[in-house]
Amino acid sequence: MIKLKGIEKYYTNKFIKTYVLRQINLEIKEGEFVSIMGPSGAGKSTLLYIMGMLDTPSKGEYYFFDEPVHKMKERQLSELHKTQIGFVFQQYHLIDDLTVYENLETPLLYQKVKGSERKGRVAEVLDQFNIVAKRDLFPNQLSGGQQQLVGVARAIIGNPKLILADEPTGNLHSDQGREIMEILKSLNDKGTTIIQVTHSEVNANYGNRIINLNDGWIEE
Amino acid sequence: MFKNYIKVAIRNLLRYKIYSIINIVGLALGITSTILLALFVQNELSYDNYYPESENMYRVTAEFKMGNEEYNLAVVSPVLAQVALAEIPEIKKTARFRAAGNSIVKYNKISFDENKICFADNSVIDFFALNLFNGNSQTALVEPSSIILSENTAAKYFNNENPIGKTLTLNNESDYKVTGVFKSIPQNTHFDFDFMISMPSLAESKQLSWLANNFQTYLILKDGADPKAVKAKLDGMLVKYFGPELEKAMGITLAQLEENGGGGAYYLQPVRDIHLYSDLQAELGVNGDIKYVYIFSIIAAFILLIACVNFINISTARSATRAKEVGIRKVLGSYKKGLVWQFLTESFLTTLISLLFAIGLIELLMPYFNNLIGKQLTLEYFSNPFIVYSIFSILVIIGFLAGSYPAFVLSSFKPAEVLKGKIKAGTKSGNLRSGLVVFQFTASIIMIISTLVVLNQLNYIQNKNLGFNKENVITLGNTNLLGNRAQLFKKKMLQYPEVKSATVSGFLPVLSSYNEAMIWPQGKTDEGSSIQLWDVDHDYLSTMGIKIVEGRDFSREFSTDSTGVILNQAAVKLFGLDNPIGKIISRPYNNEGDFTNYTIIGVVNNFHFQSLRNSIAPLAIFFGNNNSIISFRTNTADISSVINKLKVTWNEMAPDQPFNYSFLDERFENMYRGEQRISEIFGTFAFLAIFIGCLGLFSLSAFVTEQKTKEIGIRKVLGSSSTLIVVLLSKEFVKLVVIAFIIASPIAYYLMNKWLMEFEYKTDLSFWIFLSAGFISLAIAVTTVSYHALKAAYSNPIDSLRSE
Repeated sequence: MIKLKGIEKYYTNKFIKTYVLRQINLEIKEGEFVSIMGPSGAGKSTLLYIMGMLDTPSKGEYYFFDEPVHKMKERQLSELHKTQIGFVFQQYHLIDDLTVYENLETPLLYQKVKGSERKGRVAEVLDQFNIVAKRDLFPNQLSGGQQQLVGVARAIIGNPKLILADEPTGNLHSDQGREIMEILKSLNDKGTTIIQVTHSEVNANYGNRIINLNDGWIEE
Repeated sequence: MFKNYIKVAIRNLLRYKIYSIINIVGLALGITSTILLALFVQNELSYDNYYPESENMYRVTAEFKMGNEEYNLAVVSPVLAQVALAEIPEIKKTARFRAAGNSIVKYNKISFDENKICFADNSVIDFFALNLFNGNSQTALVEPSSIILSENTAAKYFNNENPIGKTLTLNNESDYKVTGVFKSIPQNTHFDFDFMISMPSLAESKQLSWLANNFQTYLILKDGADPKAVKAKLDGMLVKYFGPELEKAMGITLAQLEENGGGGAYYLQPVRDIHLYSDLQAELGVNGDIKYVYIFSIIAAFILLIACVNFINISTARSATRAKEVGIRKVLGSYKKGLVWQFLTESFLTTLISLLFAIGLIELLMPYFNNLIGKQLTLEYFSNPFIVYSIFSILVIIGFLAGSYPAFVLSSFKPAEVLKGKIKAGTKSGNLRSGLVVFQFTASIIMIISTLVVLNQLNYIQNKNLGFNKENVITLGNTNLLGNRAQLFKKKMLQYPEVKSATVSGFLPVLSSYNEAMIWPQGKTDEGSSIQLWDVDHDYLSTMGIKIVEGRDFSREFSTDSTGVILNQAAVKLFGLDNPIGKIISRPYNNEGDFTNYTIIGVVNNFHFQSLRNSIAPLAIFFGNNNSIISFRTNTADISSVINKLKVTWNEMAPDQPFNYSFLDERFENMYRGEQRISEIFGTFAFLAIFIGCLGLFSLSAFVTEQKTKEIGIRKVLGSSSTLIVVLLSKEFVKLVVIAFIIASPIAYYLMNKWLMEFEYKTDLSFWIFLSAGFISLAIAVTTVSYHALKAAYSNPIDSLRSE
């Protein structure tokens, strides 16, 4: 599904190159649940963002279902993550000015899903995540765990093949964290590929593969 | 999707109320100013546009040069129209006006002093699309002694009676039969008459002389006719008819005149250009000036830009609050273009709200604005498509102008960076914001300096030593109605101790009636010059406080003073007279070349009897019996008692005649009504510009303070004083205002120097004007900024540090 060849990421500042990622060669197959681990500043998030096509590598090749992502234009990239990829963030990143319902609806709007079908999809995930009662609340009226539930719901509402999660439980206490991880696990069981960045051994164990990053290098 | 954008936009507006209010108020004020000024400009540009054949309509103007004198006239000879129609095939129709000046109009017991009176050919009815709703437009002005009235005037004299066939008496001597009533002449017309008397009533209109120029003459050319060719043919008529008459009257041929650098020419002036481009002698009204159309258009554009700048600055400064949303939307699959549209939607929404406020504000302010510009404009949304267009285009222009840059900045955020929290609030485009603030203040400071210069010039005019004393003088008009009892009236008033002195004359040292004719030093006809000639009585110079520098005033002790003349210094210089007292000046008294000799008995100093725009012209004062004005110098503060006494005496001596008084200093100030108006308009809009600019500054300082809360907390913990905190927060803005001042000063200097050029007598562009403008804007800016700075400086540092 994902194939990275010689991916490097560096910033140039007055002739000094600062490396974030070095010579990343990596293949992830459909249906995997991968955890990326490593100390702070190791480049975990950057790697995740590159795989999510939100960041571009300085060098190297990236194939998504054998399509060369590194050669794509903005429009194609946008099309890809709109339909294939869902994101979950540590800070939830919901749109503050929209209600739960509207937040969930937004990705479908961008995918130009018809009104009636949209309503059906939103109702379905609200049900699935047990947040029907919260549908008209704004994000700041929810607890962190509830916000992250919405975050995950929003990530899967477009039926993506791949979910990228950047420390999804980082801001939650353990009960809420466990709930989120269970959901991710069950999504994986149904066939969705999941890649998460995490600091927690416990969370990493929900997955079936661990990639360790250190100073930008992979130590598998 | 669009609904989603609108929802976010509205919720955002509601969540950040202060910023929204500042944006909306600023834009609403900007839009209001722009629409009001646009209405003014539209009105100025619409003059004389509404006649059926206005693009083929021209006025014939004349230019004559003789010796040092140059005449640019809006009037030509009475016979020109008729001869031109007969001799020039390109001309389809002609029409003439002859302004008639003041008259007392009387019907039964009702009488008023009227000044909107003229003689007119019957053809003016078609020419100028007069709406003659009562009477026959083909014949109304054909018969002698017929008159047509505007509807308001008809109502004034006849109430509900049908005026047709009734008789009006002018100046107690001539009767006119009313033959028509026309709808009042639209305000955007270069003339305004309430009474039009048939041209055949005026003997002068049948004169065949080419030397007298008193008739406004209009032509309609046939379609496709070349106005240049017609002008050439008119000049041909000048040679053919004017030349021989000139030779007969003055003894020189046109060719000789041209040899001496003189000559004459006719011009065709498009009627539509009269209001904005024409400034000739004998115009039918006060014209506008294309210069002010430009100035006000520029001011309107600048105020709108200043308001847009606020919007841009506030949105980019606060971009951080929206950055996260941009990141998320991009993650969820939005294209950049979609985000640009989203933010444009927001700016359109804000503009739309501001526009609604602006329309309300315009309705509210219209009467004040009309007062300011001296017109009666109305907001007719449906009959004036211009308003609808301009409102619509303002919506589009501001929506894009204000919205596109923020939309571009915001939509280009990279999701990887914003979502990881790398973008600091408002770090981008800080330089642009500073630049825009400098622009706002530069424009405002230029306007402040201009206002101060205009005010300073007006002040200079008011306090200038004019060479006569304009204070405490009451003038009484229409006194020719008293006939030879004018002197008696004067004597009666002099019995009162409040009246110090009084004089009967035809002329005042402010713009009033005008009499110009050729005079020359004895025996030197070639040195003759056409200058102003005034008829006054014994007490004129003393009552007006005009100083005699040589010789003496007219005196009752010299019976020969009826052949004496007093010149002003400019006239002495013009005729090159050394030791002028006792020298002889010749003045013609008919067209046959006969003249009378006058002995110079005195010379007066150059007092300002015209606008300070012009240099002091030569003037000759004769002892005469023109009795149209009596002026009284009073020595009491109780003016109303004097006026009462005047009125009682008037009613005694001239019962049923209109009593018409004015104050000399007021008439003086009326000469500068135009400048006064400009200064008021400038001042108003300068204030608005700076106010809108300050709104922007206020929100920017709020933003900067917010951003530096932590820094301020730390500094205070480390022991910084509140003063230093205020300085820290204000200095950036002060710097911008200073830069703006440095840019604005030379521009304002250049512009105002040009404006002052119009005045022969003017103040200096002194240093203090610029300094005070700089100081005013700095003070306003510092006050604005200091609100947030002080609030931050006096807050408890612990609060700010904890919240981080």
